[in-house]
Amino acid sequence: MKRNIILLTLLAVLFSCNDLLDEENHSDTTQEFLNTPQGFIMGLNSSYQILREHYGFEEGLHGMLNVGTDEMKCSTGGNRTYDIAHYTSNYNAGSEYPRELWKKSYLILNILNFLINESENIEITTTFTEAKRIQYTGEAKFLRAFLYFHLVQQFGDVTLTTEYNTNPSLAASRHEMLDVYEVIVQDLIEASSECSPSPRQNSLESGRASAATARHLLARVYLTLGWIHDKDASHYPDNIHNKYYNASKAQEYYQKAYDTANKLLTDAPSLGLSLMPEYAYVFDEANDPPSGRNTEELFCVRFDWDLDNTYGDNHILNHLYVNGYEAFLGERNINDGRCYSWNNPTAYTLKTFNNRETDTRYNATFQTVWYATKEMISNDNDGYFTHTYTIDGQSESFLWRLTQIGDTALYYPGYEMSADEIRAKTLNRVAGENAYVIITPSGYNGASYFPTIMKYLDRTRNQYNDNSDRSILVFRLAETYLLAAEAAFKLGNNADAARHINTIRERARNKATSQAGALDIQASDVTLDFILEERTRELLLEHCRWTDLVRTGTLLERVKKYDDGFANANIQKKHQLRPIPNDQINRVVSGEPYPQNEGW
Amino acid sequence: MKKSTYNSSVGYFRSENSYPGQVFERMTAKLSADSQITSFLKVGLSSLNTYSNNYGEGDNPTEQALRASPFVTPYDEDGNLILDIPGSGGQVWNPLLDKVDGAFVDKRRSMSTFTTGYVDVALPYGFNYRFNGGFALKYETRGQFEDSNTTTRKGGLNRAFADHYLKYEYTLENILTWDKTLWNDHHFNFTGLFSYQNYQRDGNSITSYEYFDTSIQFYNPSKAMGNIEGSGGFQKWQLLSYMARLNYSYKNKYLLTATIRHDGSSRLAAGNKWHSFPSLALGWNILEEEFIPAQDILSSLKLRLSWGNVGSTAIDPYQTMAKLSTNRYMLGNEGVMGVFPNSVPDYSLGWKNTETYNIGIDFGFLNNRIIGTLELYQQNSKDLLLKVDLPPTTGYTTSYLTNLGKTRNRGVEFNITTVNFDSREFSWITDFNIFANRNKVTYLGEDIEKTSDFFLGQSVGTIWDYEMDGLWQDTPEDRALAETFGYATSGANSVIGTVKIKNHSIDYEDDGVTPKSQQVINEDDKVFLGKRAPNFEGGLNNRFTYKDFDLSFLFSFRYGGTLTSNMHSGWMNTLVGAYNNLNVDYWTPENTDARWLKPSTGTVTNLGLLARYNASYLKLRNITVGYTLPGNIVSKLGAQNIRVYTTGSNLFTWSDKQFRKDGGIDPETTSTINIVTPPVRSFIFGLNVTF
Repeated sequence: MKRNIILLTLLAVLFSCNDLLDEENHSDTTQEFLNTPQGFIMGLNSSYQILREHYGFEEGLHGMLNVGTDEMKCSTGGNRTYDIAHYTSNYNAGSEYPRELWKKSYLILNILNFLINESENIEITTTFTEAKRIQYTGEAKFLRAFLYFHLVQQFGDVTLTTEYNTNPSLAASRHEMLDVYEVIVQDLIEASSECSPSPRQNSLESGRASAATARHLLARVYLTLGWIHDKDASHYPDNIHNKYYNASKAQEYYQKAYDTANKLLTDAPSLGLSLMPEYAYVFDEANDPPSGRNTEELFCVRFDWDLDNTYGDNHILNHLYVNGYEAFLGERNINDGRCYSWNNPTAYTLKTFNNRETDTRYNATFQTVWYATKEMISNDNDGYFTHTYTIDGQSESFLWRLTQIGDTALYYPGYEMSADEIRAKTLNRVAGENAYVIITPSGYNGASYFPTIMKYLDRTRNQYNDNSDRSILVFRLAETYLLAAEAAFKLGNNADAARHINTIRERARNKATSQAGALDIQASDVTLDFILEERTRELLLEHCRWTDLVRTGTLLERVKKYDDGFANANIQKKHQLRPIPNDQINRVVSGEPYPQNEGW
Repeated sequence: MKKSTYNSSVGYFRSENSYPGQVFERMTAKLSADSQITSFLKVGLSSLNTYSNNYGEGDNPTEQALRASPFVTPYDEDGNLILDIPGSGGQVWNPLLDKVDGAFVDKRRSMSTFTTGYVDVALPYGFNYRFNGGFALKYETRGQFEDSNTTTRKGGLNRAFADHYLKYEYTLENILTWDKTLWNDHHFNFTGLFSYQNYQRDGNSITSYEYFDTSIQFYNPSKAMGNIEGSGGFQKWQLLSYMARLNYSYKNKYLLTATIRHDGSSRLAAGNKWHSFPSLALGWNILEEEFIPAQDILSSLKLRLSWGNVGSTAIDPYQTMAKLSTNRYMLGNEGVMGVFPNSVPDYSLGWKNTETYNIGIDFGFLNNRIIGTLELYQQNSKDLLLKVDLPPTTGYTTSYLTNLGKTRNRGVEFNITTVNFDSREFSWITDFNIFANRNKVTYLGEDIEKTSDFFLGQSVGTIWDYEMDGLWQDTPEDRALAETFGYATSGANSVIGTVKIKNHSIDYEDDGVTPKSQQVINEDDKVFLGKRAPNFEGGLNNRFTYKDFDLSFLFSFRYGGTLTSNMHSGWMNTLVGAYNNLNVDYWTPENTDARWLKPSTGTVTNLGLLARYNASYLKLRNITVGYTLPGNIVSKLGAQNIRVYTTGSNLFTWSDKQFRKDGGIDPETTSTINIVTPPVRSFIFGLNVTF
C-alpha cells in the first residue's frame, strides 16, 4: 500500500503537462513592442542608423558614387573598390557594393513601412504628442523616399513595397521605376510639411531630417525626373532612359525642380540657413554637427565615436583619399592620416579647379604641404634619397633628405614646374633645412602619388591608424543653388542659372586677393559642361557624382573622355545601371524569376 | 537485509599544449553509493564533481607569426621587442609581444557537478518501478585581458573581457518495467517511461577598454577609462516524453521489439510541439532453428529487420517568436537606441522526422573464430529544420527557420573480426570495418529546384561552383579566348597568369544558334564539382601477442570526397602584397606550368577554386607495443599483473599528392580545414598495475 502511494503521488506531481512546454524568454524583445509609443520612436531611431552603414562603411556608397566617374579613379593598386570603379569583368551580380546597398535598404524600408502605416494607431501620450507623431511620421517618409531614391537611381526598376511585410515569401516582383518615383515624390511632398521646418530651429536634434532636407531632396528628385523624360535617342544614343522620352513632361518637372529649389533658397534666411562665409569653413572639423556652427548643413549622418560614447561609431572616409606620404615622411602621423590611397583625382578634376588665385576651393580641398616628423637620412649618397619621375618626356631624379623635424618634407604645388625650378627650390636651402620633395602633376602616378583630399580628414584622433568620428554632411545648401541653376538651365533660363551659380562662386572667392564679383560668370557661360564642372569644384567627393552623370546622360561619354585609369577602356552601356544582386535573384525560387538588368 | 556499496575517487589532471602558455588542469571528485534499504527498495546516488582551469586558450598568434616577413628579427638593436613588423602597414605585430608577462591573460575557470540519483522499487507480479533524477550544473567564468602591445590589439586601447554564466540541466524519469516469462518459452519485457527534461542557461559579460593599471586585468571594470559594454542572455527549454516498449522473444529464436514515443518540445511552435515516433524491430536467430543441421562452419547467424521513426528538435529556443534587433545612433547630443524587426518566425515549426529502414545480418564462422556484421539501411528525413535565405526585398536579412525538404541516406556497413592465429605463444586478431553512405536531397518544395544551400537530386554537401580550367597562358589561343570575354591580355589588368574559368554556358544571340561575340562568366557557368562526403571509409586494426609482448596498430582510411582547404584560400595563402605566404608553386612568366596563379599587389581572386583537393587518405592512427612482466617478478612485488606499454598516435598520413605538394598537413576533416595550431603527434609511455 505504502509503495502504491509513493508511486501515485510521484506520477501525479509530474502530470501537470502542457504549460511545462511554454517558452520563457528574458533575452529578447518581441515585435509587439513596436506598437507602443516608445517602440515607434525606437523604430525610427533604428532607421537612421542605416545611414552610418551606407555612408561610413568600406563597402558603402562612397565606392559607388564617388569613384568610377570623371572626377575620381580607383588607385591602380588593389582595393575593395577596384572592380566596381574600373568596371572590370569582376564587377558583376555577385559584387559586394550593390549587394550591400540593396540588402540594407530593404531591411530598413520594411520598418519604415510599418512606421508610416501604423502611425495613426499608436497611442498618444504626454511624451509622444500628436505633433511629435506627425513629425516622426514625416521623417519616416523622408527616409523611405531617400532609400528608394538611392535604389532607383542605381538599379532602375526595383521592388516597390509600401506595406509592412511579415511573410517569409520566396517570391518577389520587380516594379516600374516610374511607379517608385511616384511614391518618392509623394513621400517627400508630405515630409516637406510634416517634418520640423529647419535643422536649425525648434531645437531639432542634429541628425534628424527636417522639412528643409525633404525640400532639397525633392528638388533633386524633380530634376532627375525631368532628365529621365528628356533623353531622346538622337541626342542620347544607347541610354537607359530613352524609353521614357516625353519632352513636355520633362519641362514640367524642370519647372517643379526650379520652384522647389528656389523656394527653399528664398526661405533659407527665415529657416536659419545660409552659406558659410568661407568655403574652407564648410568642412572644418570645428564646425561639424552637432556643434550647430554649420549654417548650410541640411542633413548629416552622425558618428561621434568617443571613449565614453557607446552610441557613437566611426568610419573610414578619412583614410580613402590620403596619399602615400609615409614613403617620404618615414612614418604616419595623426594630422596627415592613414595612407589607404584608395582613390585618386583624375587630371580633369585637377584642371577643373581653375582660377586658383581667385577661387579658394583648390587649396581648401587639396593638401599641399607635409611637414617632417622624423629625420630621413639615407645610409649612402651623402644621406640623400632620390625620387624619380618624368617631366616633359625626360626622366628626372630629385635628391631629398629630411634633417629638420617640423620643416617642409613634401610639397604638392598643384601646378607644373620644370626640373630646374624644382631643384632650385628644394636644394640650396639654408643649412639644416630639409631638402624636401616636390611632386608636380607630372609626378602623379594614379596610385600613391596624388594630392590628399582634405574634406574628410580627421585631425583629432588617438592614433594615426584610427578611424574618424566626424559626422558626414549628406546635403547642404550650396547644392540647392546648383540644383536651381541646373533646372533653370534646362528651362532655357540661363540668367537665373548664372545668378545662382554666381552665389556659390562669390562665396568661394578669395576675399583677400580679389574684388566682389571677380569669379562671376555671364548667362552665356552657362552650359551643361560648366554646370558639371562647377559641381566638381563645389561638391567633390560628396556622394553624388555618379548619379549626377547618369542623370545628365553623360556617364559613358565623360568617363571615356576624362577618366585616366582603366574605367575609360572598360565602361560599357550596361554600366549605367547596377546589377541586381545574385542574392536577390537566386533566392526568388517561387513564382516568376526575378529579372536582371540588361547585359548583366 | 541491508547491503550498501560505495565508490569514491579523486583525480588531478594537467596538460600543457605545445604552444607556451596554454595549460589545462582539472580536479575531479567522484562519489557513488548504492544501498539496498529493504528487500524491495534500493536507492543510489552518484556524484561527479569537477573543477577545471583553462589558461591561455585565446592566445594564438600563429597567424601573425606566419604572415610576418622572414627578413625581420623580433628584437631591435637595443635588444627590445619591436612592435609592428615593418612592411606590413601596421597589420602584423610581433608575436613575441603576447608572451610578455601580463600582456595576454586568458583564464577560464569552471565548476561543475553531475549528480544522479535513483529509487528502485521492486513490485509484485514482475513489475519494477524506478525513478531516475539527474542534475548537471555548471558555473563558468572566463576572463581575458589584452594589453595594448599585443597581436590582437595592435597598439590600440587595452581591453578586458569577463564572462560568467550558470547552466543547469535536469532530467526526471519515471520508468515502469514488467518482465515475465509465460508459458515457458515466451519471454516478455515491457518498459514504460515518462520523463521531463529542463535546461536553463543565463549569464552576463562585460567588455571594457583602456585601463591605466594593467595589473587590474579583467577583475574590476570600474577602473576602465574607456567604453564599458555589457551583454548577456537567457535561454531555457523543456522536453516532455512518454515512451512504451515491448520486447518479446520466443525460445530466443524469434525476437520482437515494438516501441512508441510521444515527445513534446518547448522550442517548437504551439500546435506542433508534440509528435509520435513509433518503431518496430524483428530478429531471427537462424541457427536456433531445429531444421538447421548441426555443423561446424556456421557458429552464429542472426537476421535483423527494423523500422523506426525518430525526431529532432535541435534548434535554439525562441525561434518561433518574432524578435527585434537593436542598434544605436546619435540624435542631438544624446545617444539613442533603435529597434527593428529582423526575423520572421515560422508559426508552425514542428519536429524534424527521420524514418529508418534497416536490415542486418550477424554471422559467425568456425566456432566464432570469424564474426561480423553486414547492415544495409535507408533513412528518409523530412521536415528538416533548415534555415532558408529570404530575398532581401522581404525586408529580412536573417534566414528563416522552417521545416523544409526531404533527404535520403542510403548506406551499407560491414565489419568483421578474424582470429587468424590463436596459440599460447602467438596470436593475431584482425578487425576490419568499412562503411559507405550516399545522401541525396529528394524534395525542396513545390517546383523548387534549388535553395541557397541545397540542390534537388544532389548530395547535401555538394559543391556547386565555377570550374577551374587551368591558368591563362601567354599563347595566341588563350589571348583570343580572353578577348571574347573582354579581358585585358596586357598591362596591369592582364588576366595572363590568373585562373581561367570554364565557360560552361555559352551565351547565344537571339537566334539561339550564334554565340555572342562577348561572352560572360556568371552564375550560369557554375557546375557541380563533387561532394564533401567520401565514397567509403573504414579502419583496420591488427592485434598481435607473442609470448609476453603485445603489438597492435590501427589504420583509418577514407576514399573519395572533395575537401576545401581554408588554409589555402585564407590568410596563409593570399598571394598578395608583402606578407609571408605559404610556399606554393605559383605562376610567373618563367614558371608557366605552376598550379597557383600569379601573386599581385592588387586583388587576387578565385583562390577558393584552387583550394580543393581529393579528400582520400590513409592514416596510421596509432601503434601500441606492450610487455607484460612475467608472473614470478610480479608476485614478488605483491601485484597481480604489471604491464608496460608505449603508444604512438597520429604517426603517418598518406593523402592526395597535390594536397601534400601544396603543404597540406592533415586531410582528416569533414569538409574544410582551418589550421591555426598544427595537429600533434604524440607518444605515451604507460604502466598498468593491478593489485
